[in-house]
Amino acid sequence: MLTDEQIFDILDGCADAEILQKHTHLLAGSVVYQQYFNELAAIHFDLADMPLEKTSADFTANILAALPSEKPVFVIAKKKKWSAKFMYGFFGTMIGVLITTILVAIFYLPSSETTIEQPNQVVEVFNDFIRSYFTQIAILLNLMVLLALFDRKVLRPYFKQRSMRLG
Amino acid sequence: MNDEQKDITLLKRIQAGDRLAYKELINRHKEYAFTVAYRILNSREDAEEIAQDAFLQVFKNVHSFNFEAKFTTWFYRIVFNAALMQKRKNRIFTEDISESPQASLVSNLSDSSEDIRKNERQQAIRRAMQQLQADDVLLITLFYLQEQSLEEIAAITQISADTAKVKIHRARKRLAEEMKKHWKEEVRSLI
Repeated sequence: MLTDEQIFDILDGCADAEILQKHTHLLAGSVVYQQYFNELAAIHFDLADMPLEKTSADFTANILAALPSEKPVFVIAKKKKWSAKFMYGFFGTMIGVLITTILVAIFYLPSSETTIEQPNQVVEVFNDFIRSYFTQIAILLNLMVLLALFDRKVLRPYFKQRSMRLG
Repeated sequence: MNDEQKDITLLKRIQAGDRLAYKELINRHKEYAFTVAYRILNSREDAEEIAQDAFLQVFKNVHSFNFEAKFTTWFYRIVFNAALMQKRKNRIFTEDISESPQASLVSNLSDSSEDIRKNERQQAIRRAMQQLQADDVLLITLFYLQEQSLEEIAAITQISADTAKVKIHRARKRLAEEMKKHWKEEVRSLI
């Protein structure tokens, strides 16, 4: 009689020639062995034939619904050409204003030599303009730039985040 | 591309945040996972919950998967452990409606006599499996369903391949004994 392990090896297709020979001999000569082998073989083939169990129709959907929600995808929009040009123009103007301010400052530097100047009407008008408007306009422009930067760098990101959290 | 490579591709896509790949992975393995859990727990509801939880664990821990082992080895270990824990929790025996003899009779009405006999034998095997230890059920299920190698089964059950082979033989032997008992009881009930 073969052992259970040997019989299962035959059924699994991994028995060696010697065992297979014994098996053929026993199958032909022993009714008890034949019966026992058939019992194990029936179970073996039934197990092999057993189908996969089917899940419910909404199995996958239930898992996907239980997943944590996806993080919002941030798309970095490319700046349009005109906005890039505007930025260059803006910074160019600012640099221009700065250079003019420096030049004016140099022009008005107190010098050690005292010179008696002839009153010039054009210079007078220019001086009046500088005194009355130019400084005010320069301060106003700087203030606008500061506000624009504050809006762009602080306020907008803050409100954007806040609206996403609320959403 | 073989099954293992396909799993690797899907896992890499999941790691990159692709949820469609995750859906595909679920659809590829859900029936095997559910069958393993169902054979151990013998309750469709519990098995479905366990299989779903196992997939969620895969999603949660996908970044820790290092591709050294096969995905199925890792995954069936998760399913088996979860099913085993659930089985320990379920001390109260609950018979699943679809497993009751009445239900099988109803479902057999439209089948041929050969199909009926086959179904009866498979029902008997399922009932006999309920009497086995969870790891025996797992070994038999993996051995027959997935046609996995002994090395893979050994990796899932964390034993050596030789031990896995011996254990599978013993599990089948125990199943045969349970089947014998079952048929004897059937014959007795008929007399």
